[in-house]
Amino acid sequence: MSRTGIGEARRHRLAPYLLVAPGVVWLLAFFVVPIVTLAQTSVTDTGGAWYATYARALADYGTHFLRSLRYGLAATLLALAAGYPLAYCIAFRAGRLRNLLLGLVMLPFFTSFLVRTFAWKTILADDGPAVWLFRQLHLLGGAGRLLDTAAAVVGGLTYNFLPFMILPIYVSLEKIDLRLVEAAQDLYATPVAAFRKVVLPLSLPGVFAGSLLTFIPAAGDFINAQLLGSPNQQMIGTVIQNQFLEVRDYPLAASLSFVLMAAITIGVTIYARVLGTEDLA
Amino acid sequence: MIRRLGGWLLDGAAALVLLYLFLPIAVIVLYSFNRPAGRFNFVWKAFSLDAWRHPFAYEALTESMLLSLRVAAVSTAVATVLGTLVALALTRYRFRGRGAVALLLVLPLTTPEVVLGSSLLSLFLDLDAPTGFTTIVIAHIMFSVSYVALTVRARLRGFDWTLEEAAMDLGATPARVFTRITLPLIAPGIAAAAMLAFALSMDDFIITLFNAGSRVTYPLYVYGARRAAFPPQINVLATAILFLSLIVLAATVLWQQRTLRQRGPALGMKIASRGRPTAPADATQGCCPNRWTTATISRSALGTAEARRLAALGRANVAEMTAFLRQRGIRCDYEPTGRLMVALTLGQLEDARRVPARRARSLSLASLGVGDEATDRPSRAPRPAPRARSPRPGR
Repeated sequence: MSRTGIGEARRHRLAPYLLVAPGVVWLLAFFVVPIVTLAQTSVTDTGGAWYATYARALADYGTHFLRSLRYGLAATLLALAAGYPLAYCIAFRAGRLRNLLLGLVMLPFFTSFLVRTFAWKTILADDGPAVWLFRQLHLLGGAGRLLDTAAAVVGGLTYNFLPFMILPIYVSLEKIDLRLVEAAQDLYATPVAAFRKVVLPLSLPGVFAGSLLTFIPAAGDFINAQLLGSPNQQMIGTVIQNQFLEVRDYPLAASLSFVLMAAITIGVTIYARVLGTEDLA
Repeated sequence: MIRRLGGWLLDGAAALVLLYLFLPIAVIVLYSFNRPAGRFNFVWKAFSLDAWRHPFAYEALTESMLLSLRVAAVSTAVATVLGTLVALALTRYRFRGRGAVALLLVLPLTTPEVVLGSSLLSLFLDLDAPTGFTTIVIAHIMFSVSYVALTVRARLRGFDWTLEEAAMDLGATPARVFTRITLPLIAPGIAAAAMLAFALSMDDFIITLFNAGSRVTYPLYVYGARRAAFPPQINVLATAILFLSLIVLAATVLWQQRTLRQRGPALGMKIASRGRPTAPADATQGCCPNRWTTATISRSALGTAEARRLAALGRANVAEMTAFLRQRGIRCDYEPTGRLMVALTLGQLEDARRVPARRARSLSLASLGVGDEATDRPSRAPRPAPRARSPRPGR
């Protein structure tokens, strides 16, 4: 780029800082500082060692943590299984329908997330269409239910964050140079081998981004558990919300939040190492 | 045969996934026409247009929708400005701390919403700040800034900054460059980012729940409705929003396609300014008739093969080409290296944005010449002083 002449460089030395300042100050004040406050809140009034509240949080709500991570993971895997074929079809098989299908994938963004989850409640209701269908197929016994089960919660989570899985995978698939696939076929690769050796590795960045964008909100979500599950399916988000807004045990709620953030950060770091992708942006 | 079968299976799976995505939306639209038996619109009873006839029958619901619209309007406006500025700085400048800023933008997206919401609430509690409209807006701006900055940044990659530079060299003030060249070119990206921020703000539930105090936004109303009453009006408003956003989206896509077509030369042609210093009198007029600007066809836009073909074509057609440009009041000079030197006024440069890409391309095919060395990067080699008044005669 030829854009940095000497005079220009001097003129613009301060410019980038002036441009980023408002946004960065906002994020520092209302994202970084609150996290610090949260950390402080979690270690006040412990009535013992600084980590006493954390010990209590893990002892009382460890099952909720594990359940949240489990449901989040299940939803991510399901979203990957459902999202990859769709992203693949849109990228390689849709032809002129491509933009239309992309638009359709984004359609759920234009209706309220909560109203959609309520719609699932209608679909999965005991006298609703899904239960009827499952009974006809003998997948569900006469007294079997769909609502208030773990399956309903995981299904709802998968549904809600599926577009976040599909779009990054589509973007990485779309960038693939099709000549590479042709080359593989010229070298007598079967379609399956060409996919496994060429397309799949090149789409991994999309899989990585999509899994994060699905797993992080899914593990922290509590709407699906609250609307589609029973108290037995409650996730950690419900507990945090409840402790903060109803019980008002702020230190406990803060330590729960912190543990959730730490668990997710650790998980994401390990995942990034395994997949070898370092940059998130 | 097996290959064909695999393809069908794949298409079938994709169709099923799409169906899964649409099912709840279909239910929402369908149930807006329901006449529920009780207070909860969860079971189909009978078809009715009642809810559509009286969409604002529930005052609290209407108010919550208005509050959501107000919050979204304010937070989108602020977040779009803040985020766009950050994106501009990140794409245009290399500066110390650039990586840290980029990381700070991504972090809110990788933090669960419960943590974002609860940490903000603990800050407000710490400051003894009452939660309400202001705190909701603060929270929404916080998460929207990242989305806006990342969206605009993605759109700015591949942006042709040389056009800006050319305008500056032609004597345009920085303010004029920004309003006449930069802003029109990046406007579609900003619009997309603003729409995203607006949609996110309208739909946010978790962060808002923590910071709303006693205020009730549309998602909070819907959440509360599971206890008291869930009228079909909720579905009516959701359906109306769906169709309104589809209309806005369609309009934006059309507008973007139009701008994309319009900014053809900016995409297909690199305009790099060169030339001699200008008289101050010209500069103050914002137009320097004696300045020269080279236009070369970018190889990245056309592909190497086509660039070569164009070069050959150009060499054969110098006379035609120069006549073509002079007819349009553009002075030009053709160098044997294949580089076409064009004198553009600031007005013509600004107009260059508006030449449809299709025409620009056919123009270039027919009459513009490009050298083999026509690349993205204007060569730094010294060049004979351009002859402003006497274009080189055709061969």
